[in-house]
Amino acid sequence: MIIVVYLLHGLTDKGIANTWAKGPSGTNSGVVMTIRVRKSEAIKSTLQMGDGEYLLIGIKKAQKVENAK
Amino acid sequence: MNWKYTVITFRHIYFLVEAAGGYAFKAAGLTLYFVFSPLSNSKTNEGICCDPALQLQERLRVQKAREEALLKDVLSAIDKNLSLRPNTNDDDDDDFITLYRGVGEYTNPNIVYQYARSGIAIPKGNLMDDNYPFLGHSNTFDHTMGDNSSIFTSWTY
Repeated sequence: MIIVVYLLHGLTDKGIANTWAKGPSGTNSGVVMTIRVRKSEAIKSTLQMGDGEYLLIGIKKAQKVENAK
Repeated sequence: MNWKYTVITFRHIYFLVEAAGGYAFKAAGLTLYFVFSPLSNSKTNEGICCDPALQLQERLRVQKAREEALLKDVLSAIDKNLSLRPNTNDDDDDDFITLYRGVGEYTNPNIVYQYARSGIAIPKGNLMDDNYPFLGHSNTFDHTMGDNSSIFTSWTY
């Protein structure tokens, strides 16, 4: 049996944000925000999906906003 | 519109009556002062509980107050973030991390998407609207397991 292990690599980075924005069908409209914050402000997700997910507390202002592609 | 009136017989508050837009006249040697003020129909707490129109009015009032409070928080957060805005050209800066957040138009509350288009990320727990009536929780495990009505927003690295 071959277990494919590269799934998370394909969904990390900007790609997973794009997936969230476009919805399960991949056809909806949405935006992707980009922010740079101090590492001390970012909380590692307890879901432990590799390096994939972080949490930020409270309202944040992203430096860049793009339409999902 | 109904009107209520209050009879006041104390001469020394004459000026207060006039200042409040009331009328004064003398009758049979007795000075009476009438203070007229508008009284809306059934605008009492008892009326709100049974009148759908008043319930809607009250909900809109509460929602507006919450939105004003939220806007205040947003403006405060923007000021704070602008003051902390890092140098985005310095990718090698070990103190900073670049994160991404995707927000769908149809999978989020409308206000969340509208703010996202402006680059503002609002935790669902900060909304406190009808769908999320309480201030969000602060449990990171619960958030990542799906209960994202919290004080957090999710980002990917």
